[in-house]
Formats: sequence, structure tokens, C-alpha cells
Amino acid sequence: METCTHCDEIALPAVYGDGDEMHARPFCCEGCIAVYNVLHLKGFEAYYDIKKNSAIFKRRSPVELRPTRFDFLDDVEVRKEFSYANSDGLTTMEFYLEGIHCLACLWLIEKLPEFLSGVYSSKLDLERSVVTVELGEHGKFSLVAKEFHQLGYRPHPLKRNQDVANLKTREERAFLVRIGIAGAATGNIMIYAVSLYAGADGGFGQLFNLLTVVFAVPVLTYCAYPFYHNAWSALRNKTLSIDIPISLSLIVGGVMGLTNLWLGVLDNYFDSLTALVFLLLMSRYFLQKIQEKGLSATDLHFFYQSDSVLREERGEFREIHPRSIKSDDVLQILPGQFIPADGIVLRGASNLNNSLLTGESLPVKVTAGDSVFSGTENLDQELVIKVQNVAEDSRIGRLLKNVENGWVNRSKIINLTNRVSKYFTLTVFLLAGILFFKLLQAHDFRHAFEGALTLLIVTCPCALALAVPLTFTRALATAAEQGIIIKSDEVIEKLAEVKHVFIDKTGTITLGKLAITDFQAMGTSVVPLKDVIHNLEVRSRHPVALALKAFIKGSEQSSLPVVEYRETLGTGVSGTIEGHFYEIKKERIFQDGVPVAEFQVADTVRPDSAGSVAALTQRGLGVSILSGDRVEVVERIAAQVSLPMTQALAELGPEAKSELIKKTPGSMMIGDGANDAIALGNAHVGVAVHGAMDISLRAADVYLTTPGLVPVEKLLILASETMRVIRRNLVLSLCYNSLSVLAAFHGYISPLVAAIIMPVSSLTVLLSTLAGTKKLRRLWKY
Amino acid sequence: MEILIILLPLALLLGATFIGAFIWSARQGQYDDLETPRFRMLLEEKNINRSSTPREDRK
Amino acid sequence: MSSTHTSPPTANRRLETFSYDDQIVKSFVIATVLWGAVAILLGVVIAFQLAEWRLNFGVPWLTFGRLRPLHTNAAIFAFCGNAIFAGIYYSHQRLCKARLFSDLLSRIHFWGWQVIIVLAAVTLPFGITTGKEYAELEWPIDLLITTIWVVFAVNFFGTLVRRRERHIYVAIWFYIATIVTVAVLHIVNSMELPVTLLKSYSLYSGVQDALVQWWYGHNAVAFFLTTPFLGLMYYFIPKAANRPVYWYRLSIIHFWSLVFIYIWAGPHHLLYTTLPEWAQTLGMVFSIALWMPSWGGMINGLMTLRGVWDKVRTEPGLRFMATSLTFYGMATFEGPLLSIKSVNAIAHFTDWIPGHVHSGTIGWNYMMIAGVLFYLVPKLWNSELYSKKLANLQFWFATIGLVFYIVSMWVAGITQSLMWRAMDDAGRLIYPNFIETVVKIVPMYWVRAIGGTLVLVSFFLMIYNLYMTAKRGKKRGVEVYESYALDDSSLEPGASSHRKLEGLPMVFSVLSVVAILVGSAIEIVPSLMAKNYIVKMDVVRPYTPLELYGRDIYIREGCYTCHSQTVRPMTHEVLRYGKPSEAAEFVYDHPFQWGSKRTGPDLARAGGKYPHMWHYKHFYDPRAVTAGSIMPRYTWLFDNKIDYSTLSKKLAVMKKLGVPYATEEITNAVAIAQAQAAEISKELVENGVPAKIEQMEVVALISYMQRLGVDYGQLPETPVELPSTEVK
Repeated sequence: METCTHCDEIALPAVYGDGDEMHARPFCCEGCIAVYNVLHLKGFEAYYDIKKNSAIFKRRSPVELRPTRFDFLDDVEVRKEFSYANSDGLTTMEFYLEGIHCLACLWLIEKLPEFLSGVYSSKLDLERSVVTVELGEHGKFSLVAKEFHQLGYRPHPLKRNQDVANLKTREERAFLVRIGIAGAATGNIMIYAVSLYAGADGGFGQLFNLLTVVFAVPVLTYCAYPFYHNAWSALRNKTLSIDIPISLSLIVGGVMGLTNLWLGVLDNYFDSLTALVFLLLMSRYFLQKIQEKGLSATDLHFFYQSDSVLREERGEFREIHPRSIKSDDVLQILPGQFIPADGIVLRGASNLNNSLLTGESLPVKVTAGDSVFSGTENLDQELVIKVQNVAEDSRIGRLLKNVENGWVNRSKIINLTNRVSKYFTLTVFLLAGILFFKLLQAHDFRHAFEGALTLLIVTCPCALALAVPLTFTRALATAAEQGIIIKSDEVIEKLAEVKHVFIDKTGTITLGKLAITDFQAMGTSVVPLKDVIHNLEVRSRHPVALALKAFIKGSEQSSLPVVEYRETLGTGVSGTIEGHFYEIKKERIFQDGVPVAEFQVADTVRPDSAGSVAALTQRGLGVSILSGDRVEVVERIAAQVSLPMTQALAELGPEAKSELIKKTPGSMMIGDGANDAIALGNAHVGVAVHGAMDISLRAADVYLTTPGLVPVEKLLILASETMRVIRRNLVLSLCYNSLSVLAAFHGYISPLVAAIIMPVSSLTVLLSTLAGTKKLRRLWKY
Repeated sequence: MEILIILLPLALLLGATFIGAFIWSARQGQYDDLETPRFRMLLEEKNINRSSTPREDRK
Repeated sequence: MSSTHTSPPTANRRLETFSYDDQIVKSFVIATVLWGAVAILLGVVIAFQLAEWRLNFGVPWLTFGRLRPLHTNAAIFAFCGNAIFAGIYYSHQRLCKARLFSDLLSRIHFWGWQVIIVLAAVTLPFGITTGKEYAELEWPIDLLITTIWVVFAVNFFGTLVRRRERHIYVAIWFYIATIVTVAVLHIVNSMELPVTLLKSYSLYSGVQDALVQWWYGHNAVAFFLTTPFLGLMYYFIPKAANRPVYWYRLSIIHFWSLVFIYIWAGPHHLLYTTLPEWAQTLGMVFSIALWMPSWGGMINGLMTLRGVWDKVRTEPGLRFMATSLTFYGMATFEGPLLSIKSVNAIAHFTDWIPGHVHSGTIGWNYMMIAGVLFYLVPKLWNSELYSKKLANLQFWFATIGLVFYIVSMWVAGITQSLMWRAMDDAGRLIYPNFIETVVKIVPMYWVRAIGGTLVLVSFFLMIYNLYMTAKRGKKRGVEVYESYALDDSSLEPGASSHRKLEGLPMVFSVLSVVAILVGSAIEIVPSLMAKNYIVKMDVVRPYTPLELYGRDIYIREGCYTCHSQTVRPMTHEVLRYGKPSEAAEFVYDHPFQWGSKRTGPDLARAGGKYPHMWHYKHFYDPRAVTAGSIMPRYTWLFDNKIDYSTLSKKLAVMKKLGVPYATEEITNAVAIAQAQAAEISKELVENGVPAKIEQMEVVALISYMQRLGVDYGQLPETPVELPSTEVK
């Protein structure tokens, strides 16, 4: 089976691009076709050549085209909050783009200035999938957002007002400058220190000693400033932080070095102190760079309101930002948009998909007078509603509040390590004091000081502080590369405790697209059946209509005039073609009341589902299917993925599903982000499979950008292996610290050796994280 | 080893130039995004001169 | 073709159209190919001359001593130099999305560099050399090199300032490091006081000259043969493989660490010499530290090819670059290993060193250039590569040739070292006279010469391949591109001159660095030298005028390319040559002549070892005195008369450099020299040599040979305690 031309997803059933010059290229969904056409329209066919022979940076996923409008971006107040003036004085805005995956995307997005006037540059950061767009005076961000959306990358504006932007860049660059100076100084000091060790004395000896001091001063003052700053703020609010012993050893070491210089003693501690500062700054920078790789929680949280709304003002509808909806506003909801607040329908009738609330995927008909709730999707007709209560205190808002506030809490294990390192620092202080006095009586001040200094340097628990967060962030980065977006560290920990996996049928095990299984023609139909289907179903977006259109796609059809075309919601379509009255309803096609064809509609199982289910059971996890569908359909699917009937639970309402999940400990729910939101929210770990990213991440802990169960397998391996690496790192750092305390206490190591093995411990933790485990390495190979 | 009277200041001067270059580049934001440049250098500008007969599309 | 035509400014940023200057790249490519052939041909010739001495033909300007400096200068500055300029000018424009700063400067740079090469080709074979390895060009040419290098720097930084891509790609950082550091290195190491248009004496002397020379020598290899090639690698491998660099952050880290560590690795050439102990250890430690950044570069390069190894099998260009990276890895692993003192004790002065050098130059430089050319020529001449089969054939010729070279040098090197140091249990040398080792390794010289020939053949295959590729190129109009200027501060043609200067912060800083250097060097250095800071030993006296003339002949004939002049503090060297050298002995040697290779024996204690007649016969025909010797014959020394015209001027310059000549010694230098010449030739005439020998140059050379190491004493009266590092 071929893969989709645009996004390499399995193009099944083969929905071929219509129109002749496409000469039947395989596509997987409407979204990919639309983008393919736009690219050809604008003359960017080269996109597909570049895509063909360039390295894949992230897994490709189908284009999620949902009608979104961005006019609100031009609203002055929004612009002030989102855009900032960069160093060249140009208004700049940053967008997170969904679906960035390779060199061709970079090429396409950075060509924006060429086909949109008023845009000076659009620079894409491939790693964070964030594009920075610089505009001239008369440029409009709404046009930019529309353009990205049209090209198949759904943009989410990121809040980067002026001070956030300036602060971030200035702070990060200053940090880099500190590392650069510390590194250069350490390198140069080592030159003179090695010469001194190798016996340079007399005139040159003094000169080298002086030079080590000259190089050390900027490092101990400017470069080490962050440590002093943290230590000082920790002291001010009376908490213990690992920066306190570090700052202490730096200050005391520096003073001792200067006195040695004054006394003409040739050795000082500057080589170890500068090495200490340099390596500590490096590990802090590395940690910060990894953590910032994924989306920051605040960006994610803000995603939901990135879809503008039409509000009636003085008779005509104007676009506003969802946050500024007030109760009693009159809103117009277009087909495909989410209803932003609870309210009652004033005019119009349409199908609503309120699976978010009820978990039921079949559309519900709504007309004037019915009440609607926020979070439901308006399927096919325009609706005008009057707002009753706004998003926060709307029914869905309250329901999801508790899910969201578990947003950025630290995972249990990180809290544990922080507490341990705090007590560790306390004990180190005590030990240093005891050692100092012990040596003071036994020898002289210098000896005592040196012992204490060594103890302070060597026992700094940065390996401990580094061990856990580093592994988590590495795991998040690995997941992101596999197209799996995990909300926070804590999720990984919970993933490792999963015992039982509940899988929602539609869209997860199956393709989620209805397909025609068997089609028998009965009797004779005047107009060829494929023309009937083509002409009647062309406008409808009902799942059955899509299935029929896909079925006849291969053959060429002639479009004929249709008289009295009527689409009755929920039942079917009808119309008169060439004098005969045709109806398609209830899986039958009628000509003048006589059935001429009958077809079965069923959802087909994804080819890789069977393998994944087997792999999950092999890992000793209980697997069962939950669905609201009819029993026999669910059992047939269960058989296809070789699951016993007891595991296939059908005709379950959302409440029943939630009850079941709450009952089983260590439950993982895998389902469609939009439809099974409630169940995903209640499960120990909720995994949203493909669907609108911002909606899914509202309820679930994990969002899979690519459909199917294969990523779930990888996710579970990733989680369990990460926990193993964390345990290994903890053991490594704990035994390092205890050993070093013992050695320092008995005076076996000198300050220089201490300054070397301390960063070495952070390095070993770093290497053990990067090395991961055999299974992880196979994952990384991708 | 009196040559060091020239070599040492020279090496320090050279070192200082490179530290200066590093600080200038850090301040200029050369290291903000170290992931995309390796991709961006692969892309080549499109020739807009119609008269030159470009070969069939070569990367 | 106007360089940049800017459309009327809409806002403060303009859409500018520009085109690249590929003409200059084409000329540098052609120069690379031509001079490459010359350089490798010279290498093969001198390799065969070592194997078979008759190939020197007794012609002065064809002897090994004079051709070897020409080979090294041609290979480094002509072949690799032109290749670097071609690669840098091509990639720099594309990475900056801007045309070169000025077409005029590019042309000056190209023709200036070719003139320098021609001047070298004209001066070196005729013995016009400074005698400092890899810096043999005389002072007028050094000045020309400096000016052309400044032209290159201005052109390069000008383009950088006018770039239209904000991020400075890592390759450009490597180019910047190359330009700035080579400028500093060249200026400092070319500090010489001119005597005549074609002769000058190095400002520094003895140990100090050695440190500066090898600080330059190592960093010429580092910043002329490694950093620019790493820059080329970071541009051309991703482009040829259409794959991004494996880990871009690693390339930035390894650049900055390379820049800081490289500069201090010089002293590893002077281990066990009279360089102070701490300087030797420093050199060793930093050479070992150098191993990490070098391998950082190799790993980053090789891993970039992950996923395209099938392309490496089919595309010759990629295959060359991949192999060059592996040889780079090998050479930069062998280097730190060789700079460990105990390993250096074995390898120093032996043939292992040229083995290491050529695994770097042929393996890394030649193969990377081949890879770059296979990418550039089809693009520049708008055509397809003529024949992949031919390129693969070239690849195998080059690789096998190089393996022949390296292995033969390993074998020769270790044989030499072990035979030199072999002692029986009574503590006597098993191979007391030097020729026994030479005879043993001559077959290895044959193998190396054959290897060199294979590499030469591979180069001719490449020339033919590239020529045919270029010939088939289809004519094509100038390609024009358009892109936004970074900001209005980037230089526009109309800018006022001051803004232009201020608009070039980088070029401004480069010029100022060069200005400071030249200024400080000229003022400070002579004053320093004169106020004799140097530790003196009264027993060591300056050379007599005749001996000084003899020393100039020694430098002219390039004797240092085969003979060394420093005895290391090791038992077997003391037994073979005499007392270990002291720093003070070389205090009047402008330039120092320690040498880096012992194809022939060490001459530091040669004074008084043999009678004049032995030297007379030896120079006329070395085989007459030592059977099996591979030393060429120096018959022209017996016909050339001594040219006394500039002798006193030479002494005057030496005096200015701090050598304590009495004033009357300078005024009647000629008389003193003639007296000494007469006295030496008296002994020769007694043995039947015609009287007119007295005016011939050979007498001066004999006087210099007889003076070497005399002042400090030949045989070890006092027992010499040796450091424990001596290897049994």
C-alpha cells in the first residue's frame, strides 16, 4: 500500500487527488491534498524534491487542516501582548508550527518573504519548531498566520511580549559570555600551571604565578556571579542550596590564592577554582538548553484560545479573541469551529460532535432553542448562539480545571532528590567544620584550610542535582523526536507504573475512516451507480458520504445536474438525476423507491494494530478495548487483533468508561483527543492519539502526532528505560558523593584533585544519561 | 628563554583577540539557535536571471 | 557586472540583487592543480634522490638540499594555499550570501600569490634561503607574503561584514582563525635583518630561534593545513552528501577549544633539546590535549555521512573526503602520541616523522582537496564529472601510494632508532659508525619513492579527469540572486568613507593587530637582543669571518635538511657524538641550525673529528671516504671562489644582532678570513691539492665544519649524569 505523497502516512483507503494533472497521486487525507494543491499553485514543486532526498528530522504526520481564522492577531491589544521589537527595531512575533519535520519545511517557511509582501524575514528554529517572523510597517500577522496554515503548518502564536523577549536573549547570551571567559581563562591558566608543575621557577615562575592570578580574577568575579547570586538569595530566604558551598569555596580559595601570591608562595588554587567554575557553568547551561527544548508549559497552556471567534457588534460579526467573550454576547459559529462557551442556539441548525462531553462520536442534531456547551465541535451548518456562561465557569471548563492544574507539578522523584541534596549540603557543612578544627590542632591553618576547602569542593552534590532532571529532559527530547509530545516529567514516572491499557476503538485501533466493505448492485440502475454516488454525495461531509466517495475514487465519474437535492441530517441524501429519484440512506441506494444497491460500512483495522497489541500483552500489560459502538462490531475488531472477547467491552457510555478506568490501578487510556477527553482525564496516564493537538493536550498527558499504536510501544519502553537510567544515575552520584566525603575527610585528596573529580562525577552522570540503555539506543536509532 | 618577553604578550594578545571575537559573537546572538544553521546551509539561492540557461534543476 | 545593485530603499531594509564571483575561484582551482603537480613531482624527485644519490646529477640547483625546501614550500603554500583560497572564496560567498568585497582585491590576491610562488621557485633552487624550515623564503618575499595576506584578510572580512545571512556558519570561524593566526605566525617568524637583497639573518638566535621557529612550524601545519581544511570539510561534506552536520554544537565547541590549545603545542618539536624542561613538558601536555578537539572534528565529519554511506561508495568526491577524514584522525592520533617524551626519544630525528607528516599532508590535505575539486569543477564549469571510473582509479593509486609511504617510513624510522641506540652489555655501541643504519634503510627509501610515484600518477589522473570535465562544460550566463540586506549598517556603496571604515569592525581589528605586531616587533626586539639578556658562557666565541661564510654555505646548500646539530642527553648519543649540547653553545647562531632529521649523522660535535683532507675528499665524493653514503657530491664548491665583497657587511649585521664582534674584526674581516683560508689550505696542499684551493668556497665550509662544537669541548671529560627517561 502506498504512502501519502505529502506526509508518508499510510494512504489507506487510497484517496486519490482529483483533477487530471494530479494523475492519481496517493494521499492520506483532505488536508494533504489541499496543501499539495497550494504548493503547486504557488510554484513550490521543488518542496517534494528536497523532501525526497533530505534527512528526516522528525516523524511526518498528516496535515490537520481545521478552518481557523487569525484576524484577531491584527487587534492592537493582542499585537502588543504577543509581538516585540527586536534589536533592529522590527516588530517580531513567534509562532509554534505543528507538523515541522524536515529540510523542505525549513526551505518553504523561510521563503515566506518571497511571496508575502511586508515580511522581512521568517527564521525557523527546527529544534523547537518555532518560527520568528519580522514584519515591516504595513505587514499583518494575520496574513502570516493564514499563509502558514495554508501551507499545512497550523500556527500557534506564542506570548513573547517585549520584556520576555529581551530578558531571555540578554540573559542567555550573558551566560554564554561567562562560559566563554571561564573556558578561555581555564585554558590559559592551565598553560602557566603546567609550566609551574614542570618546574619553571625564578623570574618566569613569578611571572606565571602572577598571570594565573590575572586570569583568575575575572573568572572568580564576573563568571562566578550566578553562583554568588543564587547563594545570596538562598541565604536571604533561609533555604539551603548547593550554590552556597560552591560560592564559599570560591571566595575562600580566591583569598588564599591572593595571599599566597603576596607571600611569594608559588602554588595557588586558581587552576582548580577556574576549572570548577567553568565546568559548573557548562553543566548548568547544558541542563537549561535541554529543558528549553520542548514547549514550555506556559506556551502549551495558552494554546487553547488560538482560534478567533465571530461576535455580533452593531449588527455585523467581527472577529475577536476568545478571551474577550462576555456572557450575553451573540456569537456566530462556523462549521468546523469549536463552541467557545456555554449558550443557547438563536438561529440555524447543525450537527454537533459533543463527544468531549458525552464521549459519543455520533453527531447530535441541534436547532434553535437547544442549549449548547463549550468544547463541542460544530460539524456542518452555521449556528448563532447567545452566550450564557464563559469558558472558565462553563460546564466543560470546570470539569477540566482539575486536570489542568496538575499541569506543572514536579514529579515525586525530583522532589525527593532535591530534599536529599539539601540535607546533604547541611551534613557537608558540619563535616567541613569538624575537619577544619581537627586539622587546626593537628597541623597549621594552611593545612586545615586546604582540607576544608577540598571537602567543600569535592562533595558538592551537583551530580545528584543533575542526575534526575537531565534524564527526564533527555527522555522528553527523545519522545519529541519520535513525534510524541509529553506534558511534563511527572508523566514519565506515571508511565512506568502502567499495568493495564484501555484502547478506544475508533481512530486508534481502526483507521477512524469508514470504508465500504462489500457493495452488491441489485436490479438495474438507469444512471450508473458511481455517477449517482458522486453527484449526490459530493457536498456532504458525513462519514458515510466520505467512505462512498473514497470507494468510487478510482473510476472517473461524470457530474450530472441534480434536481431538488436534499440532505436529511442523520438519515441520508436524496435528489433527482435525469428524471429518476435517487436516495442513499441506511446503507442502501434507492432508485424511485426501489433498492438498486446495498453496501456494508465498517471501520477497517490499522495494519500495525495487531502487532502493537501483541507487543503490549507481551510486556505483561492487560489490554482491553473500550467503545461506544455495537457489540458485534467491537468483537469483530477484537478478533482481528487477537484479543479474547472478555477484553472487548462495547456499548459503553462515557460515565461507564470513566468508572471502569477509575477502578483499575495503573490504567492507561489511549483514545482520540477530542472524543474521549473525560476518560483520558481520569486515567492514570491519558494518551491522545492524533486529533487536534491543542484540544487533546487539554485532557491527556501525552499527545501522539502520528496515528496508530506503534508510538505507544515506544513510549512505554522509553518510560521504563528512563526510570532505569535514573536509578543508575542516582546510585552513581550517591556512591560518588559518599566516597568523596570519606576520601576528603581522611585527607587523601588535594584541592586540585577535588576540583577534577567533582566535575568528573557530573560528567559520568551526563555520559550515563547520553549512553542510556541498549533498548533506548535502539529507540534513538529510529 | 628571553624570547618569552615577545612570545608571551603576543600569545596573550592573540588570546585576547579571540576572547573578544567570542564575546562579540555571543552578544550578537550567533549561538541562539545551533540546530537550524546546519540545515539552512544546505539550501541554495534560486537564480532569478532568466537569461542564464540554468542546467536541469541541480541541488 | 556590477557587484551589488540595490533597489530603491522601501523601509530601512532593502532587497538587494547580487551574483557570486566564480571567476576568481576558477583561477585558484587551476593554480591549485598546476602547483599541485609541481609540488608532488618535486617530492617524488627528492625521494628518488635519497634512494639513489646519482639522481642529484652533481648540478647545484638540482641537489636534494635545495629541492627539499622547494618541495615543502610548494606543497604547503602553493598547492594547499591555492586550494584553500579556492575553497574559502567559493564557500564564503555562499555562506554569507554576498559577493566578494572587491573584485580588484581578489585579482591582486591571486596574481600576488602566484608571483610569490614563482619567486620561491626562482630563489630556493639557487640557495637563496633563510635556512628556517617551512619559512625558507628570503625577506623581500616575506614582505610580499605579508601584504598579499593583508589583501586577503581585507577581502575576506569585507565580505563578512556585508553578509546577508546573520548566522556565521562554523566554517567561517575556521577561516577567521586561519587568517588571523597565520598573519601573526608569519610576521613573528620572519623577523630577520637584511644583509643584502637576497640574504638576511634571523633576529633570534639559538634556543630562542628554535622555539619561535617551531612555534611557527607547528602552527603553520595547524593553522594552514588543518583549520582551513576543517572549515572546507564543514562546508563541502554536508553539501556533497546533502546531509546536515552531525552535531553542530560540537563543531562550535571544538572550534573554540582548538583555537586556544593549538597555539601552544610548538615545543613538542624540541623535546630533549636544550629547551628548558618546563617548556618541553608544557609542549607535551598541550599536544596531548590537542587530540580531543582534532578527533571532535573527525567524528563530527564522519558521522555527518551517517545514512549516505552508499553514496560514499559511488560518489568519488565523497569517498575522497571520507578517507581524508580517517587519515586526519590517524595523523592527529599519531601526533600527540609522538609528542610524549618517551616515544619522542625514539622517533625524533628518524624517518618516522616524515611518515607522520605525509599521512597528514597526502592523507588529509591532498585527499580533501581532491574531494573539494570533484565538487567544485562540475559546478564551476557547469558540467558532469568526466569519468567516475578514472576517479576511483585515482583514489586507489593515491591510497596505496600513501600506505607504501607511511609503512616504509615506520619501518625505516624504527630501524634507525633501534640501531642508533643499540649497545652491547659492555656499554659499547653495536653500530658505531652512522653509515651502517643508512645502508640498512635505503630499500625503504625505494619503497617510499615508489609510493610517491603512485601518488603522482593519481594526481595526473585527476588533472586529466578535471580537464575533461571542464572542457565539456556548457556556457552559462551569470546567475543572479536576491536577498534582504541584514540591516542598514551593512556597507552600501554610497556610505561615507568614515562609515566605511567604522562599518568594517572586523577588518579594522585585523589591521590593528597586524599594525601592533609589526610596530612592536621592530622597536622592541632589536633593543632586547642587544642588551644581551642571554646567558653567556665565556668559552663560547662568535664564528670567525671565514667560518661565518662557511655557515652561509651550509645554509645555502640546505645541509640542515639531512643533518642535525644538537646532541640529546642520552647515553648512545653521548657515545656516538660527544657531550650533550648546552643552550649557550648556540647563542650566536642566527638562524639556529638544529635541523629536524638525521638522514646523515649529527654534526654538533663534528669540529676537529676528522682532518681537513677527510672533509676535502668527502665533499668531492662522499663515497670515497664512507662507502655506501647517499650524500650528493658538492663538486661546485671546488670551483666557486669565495665572494669576500659582503663579508664585513655580514659581520656588521651580526654585531647589530648582538654578536660581540670587535670593530676592527669587522673592518678587516676579509684579511682575517684569507689568513685562515691560507692556513687551512696549507694542510690540503701538502696532500697534493692544487694551491688555488685557497680561494675556493670548500675551504670556508671546511673551516665551519671544523669549528662545530669545538668551544664547549668534544669528548666527555666529566661523567655525564643522564635523566632517568633514557630508553634501554
